[in-house]
Amino acid sequence: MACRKFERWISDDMDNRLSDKMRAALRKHLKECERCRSYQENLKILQAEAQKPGEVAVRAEFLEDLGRRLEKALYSGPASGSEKAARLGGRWKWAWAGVAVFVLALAGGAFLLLRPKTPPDLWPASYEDSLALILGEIGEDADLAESFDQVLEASIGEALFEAEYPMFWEDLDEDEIRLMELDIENGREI
Amino acid sequence: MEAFTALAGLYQERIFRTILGFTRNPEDAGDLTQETFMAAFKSLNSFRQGARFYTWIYRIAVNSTLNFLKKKGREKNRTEFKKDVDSLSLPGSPPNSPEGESLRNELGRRLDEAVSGLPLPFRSSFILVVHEGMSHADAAGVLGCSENTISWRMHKARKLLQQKLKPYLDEVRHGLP
Repeated sequence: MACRKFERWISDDMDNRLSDKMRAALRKHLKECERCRSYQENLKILQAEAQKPGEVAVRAEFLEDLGRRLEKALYSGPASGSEKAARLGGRWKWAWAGVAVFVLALAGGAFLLLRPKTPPDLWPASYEDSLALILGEIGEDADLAESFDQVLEASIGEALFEAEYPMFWEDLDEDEIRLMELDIENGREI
Repeated sequence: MEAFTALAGLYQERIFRTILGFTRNPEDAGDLTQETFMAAFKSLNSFRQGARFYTWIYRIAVNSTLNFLKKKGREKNRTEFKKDVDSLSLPGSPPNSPEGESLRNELGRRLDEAVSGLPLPFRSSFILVVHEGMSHADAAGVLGCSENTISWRMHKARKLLQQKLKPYLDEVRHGLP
């Protein structure tokens, strides 16, 4: 868990995104953790290598020709036929979107009307009730109490870690979400 | 029109090189540069007074390029970035010898391949932040996402690249003075 967090901090540190407090905590961890030190050194080599000028060669004539092509294209203007086709395509898109919204609304209404009613006694208990239930189960058992404390501390730690990067997934696209799912399925960290 | 053509002349090479960083193909980059300036010219009325022309056209260029790469379906088989390094064969030479220099060159070549093989969202963030030297905030502005998303993508991109190239990186690291 700790190394997982620090790996991300190492990346953020390379992009000058860490607060002073986080940077100090990272330095402290790096002094103690050989694995993270190696990881950081590898990333530094990667960074230096990636920042070297690219080697895709482009002939000067190619660039001159590009300039001429661009000027010619700008002066000749856009083709009106393709624009018209694009506009018509846009209208059809809106029509299909309207149909989709209507179907969704219909399905939503049907679901609300037809869904089975849940008996009130099956609703989950409140947080306080659940806690009272667990504490009752633990009773005088010291081992069980200690295990429960550890679970609580771990979940608090997890919540604090996530809070430093709130909602990082909010803009992920489908590919990235699929990658995260694969990571979870394969037991890898995300 | 003259003013726009003059601006196009001023920025076309920078825009071309940025696009080339994504496509690695001069022909595609040339076509996309032309498309970028044509699209910008057609939507000149959406250009806000006071905004920087280069920033505006840069955003159009990056978005056109990302759309092009998505459409071409090049990313289809790349999203599952393979972690295995079986295909990597290390030359057996110390990295600080002349052969070591060739190891470093080999690392550069492999890195180029590995970056090209990254899933598109990771690659676009990596190119903007590492190659173009943008801050997370600027990259987020260009790609239309949050800074936290850029931070996460950078972490994942670096981690994937590190896993892919670990044998080379370890070899280079052990040869450092």
